[in-house]
Amino acid sequence: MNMKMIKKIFKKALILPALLIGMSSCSEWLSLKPQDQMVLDDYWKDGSQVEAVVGSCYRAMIEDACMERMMIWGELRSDNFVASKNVGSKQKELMQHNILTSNPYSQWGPMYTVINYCNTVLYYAPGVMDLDANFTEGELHAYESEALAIRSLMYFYLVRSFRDVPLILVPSKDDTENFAVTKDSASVILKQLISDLKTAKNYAMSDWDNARYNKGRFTKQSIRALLADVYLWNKQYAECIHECDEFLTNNAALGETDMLKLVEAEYMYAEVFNRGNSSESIFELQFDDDGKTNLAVNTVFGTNTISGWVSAPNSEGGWEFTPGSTQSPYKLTDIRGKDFFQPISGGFSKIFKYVGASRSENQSGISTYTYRTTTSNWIVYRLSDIYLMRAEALAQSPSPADWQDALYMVNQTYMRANPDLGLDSLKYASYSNQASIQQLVLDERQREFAFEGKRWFDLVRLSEREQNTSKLSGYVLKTLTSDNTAQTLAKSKLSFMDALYLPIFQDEISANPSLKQNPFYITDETVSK
Amino acid sequence: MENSKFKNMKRYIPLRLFLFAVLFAGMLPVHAQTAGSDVVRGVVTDKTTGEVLISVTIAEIDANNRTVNGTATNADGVFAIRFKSADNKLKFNYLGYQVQILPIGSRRTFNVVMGEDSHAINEVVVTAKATSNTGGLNIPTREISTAMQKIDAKEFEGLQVASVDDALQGRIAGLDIVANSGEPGAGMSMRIRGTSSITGNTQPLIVVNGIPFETDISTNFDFSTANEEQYASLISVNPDDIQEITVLKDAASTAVYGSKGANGVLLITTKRGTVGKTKLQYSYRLTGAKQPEGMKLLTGDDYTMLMKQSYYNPILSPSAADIKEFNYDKNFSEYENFNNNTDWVAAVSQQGWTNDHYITVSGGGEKARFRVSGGLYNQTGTVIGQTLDRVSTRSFLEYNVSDRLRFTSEFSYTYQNNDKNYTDGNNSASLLDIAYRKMPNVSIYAQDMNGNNTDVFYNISQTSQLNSSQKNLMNPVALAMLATNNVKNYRILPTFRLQYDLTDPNKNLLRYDVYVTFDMNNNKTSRFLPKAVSSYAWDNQNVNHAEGEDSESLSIQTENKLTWQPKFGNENHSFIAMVSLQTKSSTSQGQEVISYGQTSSEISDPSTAAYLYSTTSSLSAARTMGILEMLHYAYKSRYIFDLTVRTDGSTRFGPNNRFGTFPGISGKWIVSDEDFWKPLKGIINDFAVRPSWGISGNQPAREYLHYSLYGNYPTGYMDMAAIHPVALQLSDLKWETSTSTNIGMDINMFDNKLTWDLNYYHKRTKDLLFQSLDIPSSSGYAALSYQNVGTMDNDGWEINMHASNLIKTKSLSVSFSMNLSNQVNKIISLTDKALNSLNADFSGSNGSYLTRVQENNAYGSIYGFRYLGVYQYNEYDEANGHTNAPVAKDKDGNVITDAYGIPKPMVYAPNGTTKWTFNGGDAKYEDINHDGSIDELDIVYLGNSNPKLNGGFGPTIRYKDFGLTMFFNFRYGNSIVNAARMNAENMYTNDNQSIAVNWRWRKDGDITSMPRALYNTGFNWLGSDRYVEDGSFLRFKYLTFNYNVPAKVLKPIGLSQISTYLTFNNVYCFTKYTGVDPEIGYSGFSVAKDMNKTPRSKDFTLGVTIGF
Repeated sequence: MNMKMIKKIFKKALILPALLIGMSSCSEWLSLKPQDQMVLDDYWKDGSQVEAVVGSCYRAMIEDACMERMMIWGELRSDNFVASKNVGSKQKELMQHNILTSNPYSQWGPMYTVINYCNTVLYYAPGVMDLDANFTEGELHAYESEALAIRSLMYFYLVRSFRDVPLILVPSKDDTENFAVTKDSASVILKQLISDLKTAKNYAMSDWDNARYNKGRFTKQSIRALLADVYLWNKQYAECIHECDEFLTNNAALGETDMLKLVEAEYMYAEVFNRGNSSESIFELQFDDDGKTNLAVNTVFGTNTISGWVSAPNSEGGWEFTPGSTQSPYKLTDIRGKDFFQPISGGFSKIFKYVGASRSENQSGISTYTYRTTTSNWIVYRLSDIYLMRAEALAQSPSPADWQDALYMVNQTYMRANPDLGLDSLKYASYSNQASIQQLVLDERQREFAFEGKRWFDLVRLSEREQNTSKLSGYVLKTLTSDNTAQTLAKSKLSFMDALYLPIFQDEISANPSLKQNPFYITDETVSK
Repeated sequence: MENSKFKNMKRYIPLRLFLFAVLFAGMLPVHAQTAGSDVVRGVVTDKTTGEVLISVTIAEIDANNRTVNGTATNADGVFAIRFKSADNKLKFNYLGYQVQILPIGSRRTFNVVMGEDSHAINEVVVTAKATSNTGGLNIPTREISTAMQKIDAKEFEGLQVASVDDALQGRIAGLDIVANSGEPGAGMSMRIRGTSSITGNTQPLIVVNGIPFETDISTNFDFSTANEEQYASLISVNPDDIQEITVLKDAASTAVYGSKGANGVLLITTKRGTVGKTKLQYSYRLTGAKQPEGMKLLTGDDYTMLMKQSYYNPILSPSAADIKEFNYDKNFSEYENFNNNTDWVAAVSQQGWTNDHYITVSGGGEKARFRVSGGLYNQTGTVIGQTLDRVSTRSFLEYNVSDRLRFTSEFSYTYQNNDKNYTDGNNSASLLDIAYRKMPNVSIYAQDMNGNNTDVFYNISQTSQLNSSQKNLMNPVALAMLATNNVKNYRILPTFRLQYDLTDPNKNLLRYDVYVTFDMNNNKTSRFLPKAVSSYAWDNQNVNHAEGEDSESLSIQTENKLTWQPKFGNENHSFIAMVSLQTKSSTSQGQEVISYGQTSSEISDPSTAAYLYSTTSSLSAARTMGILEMLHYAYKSRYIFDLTVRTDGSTRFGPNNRFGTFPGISGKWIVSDEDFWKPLKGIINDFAVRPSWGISGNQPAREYLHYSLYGNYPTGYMDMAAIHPVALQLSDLKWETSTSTNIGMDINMFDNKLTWDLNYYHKRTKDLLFQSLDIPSSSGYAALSYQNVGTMDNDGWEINMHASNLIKTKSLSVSFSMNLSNQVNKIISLTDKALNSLNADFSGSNGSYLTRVQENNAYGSIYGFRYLGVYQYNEYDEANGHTNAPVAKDKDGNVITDAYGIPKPMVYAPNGTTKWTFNGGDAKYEDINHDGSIDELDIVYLGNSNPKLNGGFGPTIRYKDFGLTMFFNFRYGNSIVNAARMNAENMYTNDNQSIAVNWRWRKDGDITSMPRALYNTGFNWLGSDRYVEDGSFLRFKYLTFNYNVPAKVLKPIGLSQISTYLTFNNVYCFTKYTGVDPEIGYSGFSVAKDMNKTPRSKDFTLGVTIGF
């Protein structure tokens, strides 16, 4: 080490702090931005950034926690499932209708995460117009429509599962905000959804000019499907019918090659559930085997190696799922009775829809089932839903002409699934009163949408319509015949309308004392020492 | 006489120092002798013999004694030198002769006669006031006014410890050290004066040679384990290198480190080169450790019997217990693999050895000093599959350019290669933990049809009907032998310092110090779980699962410091002032790749094509700066006043709260110097009072909290990018600040034979940082990463006592030291949300205790049921004396009956829901309110986790060249939940249990306090006093013998030192506690739980140090 070097270092050391203080103030030196993430101040500068956050709104929906809730909330408590050996205690609580406030499926966080992203888009995207000259008003409105539609879908799930929840329409920005919000009633929320969806419908894209986007992102048509569903839940039957009609008219206008059509029975399984994005699909959440896989479906339904949490009901209750049996909802001719589940030894059936690859039938009618190693998309709406929502709305009408129209709708899906029975196989003569037509629609929805996360909501909608849970409990209690205690307990619980809705998760209540628990779940004041 | 001796010495010091200067000067180029007015020449001769002296060094030195030029005499004793300035002096130096310094002036011929230096080999005694470094200033030790405690290297020279934490443990009042685990490379947790933060960092700051020693971990990595690593690297500071350790305890002393000092500071000063002959020292330590015998477990035969009962009991059905693996059925294809009595714990245990070699070279002269050391460390764990290799070097070079300018360079390098046991993500249990749980009837190796071991490890098949907790519990021997978990770490720390006196230091000191230090840290982790350790299908993510993780960090710290120490005419005043600007900037980055399903177990690189499970990467940077002002004033060295103010700025806070100011004020009055004290001097020769007050701070562990960050999902949606806000912006986060008041006393009695150091403190921490506090998820976020939630108090006292030379004769000396401390944490206020999240409702489930954090209460209290044993009979039958049966009884002990006279059964009904009706053989809990049901109203206070008293004591005895040191530490008055025993006696799962369960209730009428076995059923192990035990203990912590070979034996063989020692660690523990070890960590809000199944290891260390 020679003197020169020492002097050099010495000089530098003297200069360094002087530089630091002189050139920039301390505060500036101390404001450091992350290098692997963007900060808000640098974001929302151009249209592609808006699109990336819209991408997150979809992406957050396919997170396992959110996807699993869509499946579980919509169906786990219904008569479509019985617990399999692999079921966890928390899922079992739901299936036995003995839900505690500690049940993790009463956590609504994953839905609100999506909602917050949508709110973020709606809050910041309009400002981008001023900064990015290439970002047009049309593009902005298209993105806003998607955000509105996704937010509405999430709130729709919350309303159907909890009834009253906080309605939040602005993004959470920092820790100075008051997050202790109160609940809003279901009717207020539904009103908001209807108005939002009407707006979204006007500005949404009709065609993304990209086959996969047309199924995987919201379009005018898929927003109509969602709006029709909301109307149906809100008992606005005329509006529901109107929305379905608009959907069908628009669909017909697309022409023979582009319009949505039901896939023929022979190819239905392969195209609709295995390959996905079929010609009858309206909106489905897109998974990728080399991106985000649909683990939730595999966990709940199982795979070829691991059995899932649930099976289709065995002969102990629920469905008599052996095709052809008198109690089966499926006739021997019904392709859905073979394609949706695999009867296996031990008296229960393995669910095949979504997790299966293909089924082949030999000459004596014995089927061989092959399971997929990849994962599937998750269908939110397909054409059958338009037919059967319209049918359900029509069946509420006092006019017998509408009942006939409803039967016509049901025949669309029924004929597709029973091609051997010929045209109009369900005759009006057999379903000429309102009760039987309503029952037919309910049954057909169960047959068509089994394991698609809809049955429990169908039953709750029925109970809400009749303000009485007797039909619902008649169906679901059958799955508990093997366990007398559980069945008795469930029976007493299910006699209350409030019991059809989930409790607010206990940690949510302790984090937000402004929330009022669903009255059904309020127990004696908890004793503490 | 005294005076002249001192003068002589003063004169002779430089002569010895000059030894090195001779070498140095010799290296300088000798200029050709040219005639001229700027050349001096001459001859050097011996005073007594008159002969010429060859190779005498002649140096030209300037006014600051900086050597500017030099030469040496030739074979004729002649020299010539071209000087730089006539104002300089010539310094003549020759080994064994007196140095001569002569001014040049106008003289051009120097014929010098040098005389022999008769004092040259005498010991040099420097009389000056002992000073101590307080972190910022060097002030006389007696003038220290804050609460700090110093351990000198001398104290452990006699002790010869194996690592730094060993040296500290039990020595410092108020410092609690608990080793995290006995695994090689694992760290320890330290607490100075308890915990003052809820979820923030609670480890003290380590400062090595004045430089904060921190590891910056990118946010990807877990903070708690990162800290462990930091303290592990502390151990890598070899005790041989340590000069002294100072613990700063009160805020007035830690204010120097401002925002980092809230948990106390540990100052470590390493040794530097000493003037004199080059010394070589070698030391070797050998440590042998064995996994001590822990809990005794069931054999395979007892285990299967227990399991069959455990499955049968809940529903009284033999079919429930019909599990092939427990049946010993020869027709079962796996029969031979399930008919064994395997001692899994023995199978994974081994004798562990540590070899530690350390070599040091040090020396130096007047101009330069050096110390270079290097070590080689190798450790094998007490559990198979664990090894640690470490190479470490440390060097310290000082060069005095002149009396005013000094340059110092430090360099340390550590390379560490650590093979750990593999722990997978979903089952992060240690190998030993797996061994304690694993079913003992299964074999280690797959066995053939004759029951002979094959060379393949046995893994329970996936088709087995066993509960998945056993089925998927991996074979621990296979894990240790076949799986890889290797961490390699490099750390390089170069430091450069300059010290320059702007004025003449002997008049008014105005000193400028600057340092720049770099910390380069590199970690590489590779983990691999091959197919052969599990029975999972090929596409399971635990098959050929490979993980690779790399992280590196670089931090640069600088300090610019100006110290002013004027000399006053009136010597009663002494004053030191200092300003300093410190900066730190660091960057770190890391990436991790996890993949599985490699096509072969031979391929363990995660980047080769297989199923990619995840890739993550992180990049972060941080900056802090601090401006520090310190002032020390003493009048007559009797009235002392200190002031410290530090302002810190950190990138971890937003613009609103970016800077924090941390002041500290302290004073000291040395009462014994007053005239009125004179009559007491005979007994108490020193008495001083030290009050202090100060504030220190704490900052969150993460960066960028004040930004609203937008990040990517790992994959998008279809081909759309997916970017989203990742966390809520914290606009309002503040520094956590601790204000502490300390009153201390220093007492020296009987001519310093007995010294006391007493402290009482009160510390209030405001704006407590609470990490990840839940917020309503309707906000779209689950939690806020940090919040300021409340106020907490820490109160305590500490007593240190040292009796040196209690007995002192020519060959025998006995010293004794002792420390006592106590501290109480109390929550003063906490937001409702924080309270709610800490005080969950009683869950009603087995094994959980109710804890309450309440304002104005100390925490750590344990609440639970009272355990009364086991119901002897199932049916209540007074006629036959079957009264110990599960029926409800009223206050007077009468059985409560219903309308038909049938006794009301005792039930367990927490939160109003009946969950269980008790049967014979079930645990019996006291029905405190006699309402016929056990529920939360029957929960009572069972004890507190915090000790009433902590302490340690021990004597040091020296007899001639032998030494003996003993040390004891103790805790008194705390309760512990023995969770290890709870899990080993609950008979609730498939896990293997302790042999105590052999005394379980099996049939009606059995008298025992061990309930019946109930697989996944019942409430036999509710949180009750059955598992709450008194945790008081007295531990004979270590015993050290040492022996120094006398100098007269060594001298003839050319050695300067041989010392040997033998230490026994953890000799014996006196306690009533039934668990394996009562010394467990107890800070935090939850109750103290002992999860250990094995006691602290007992080991011995044999060491030898040889000096050449």
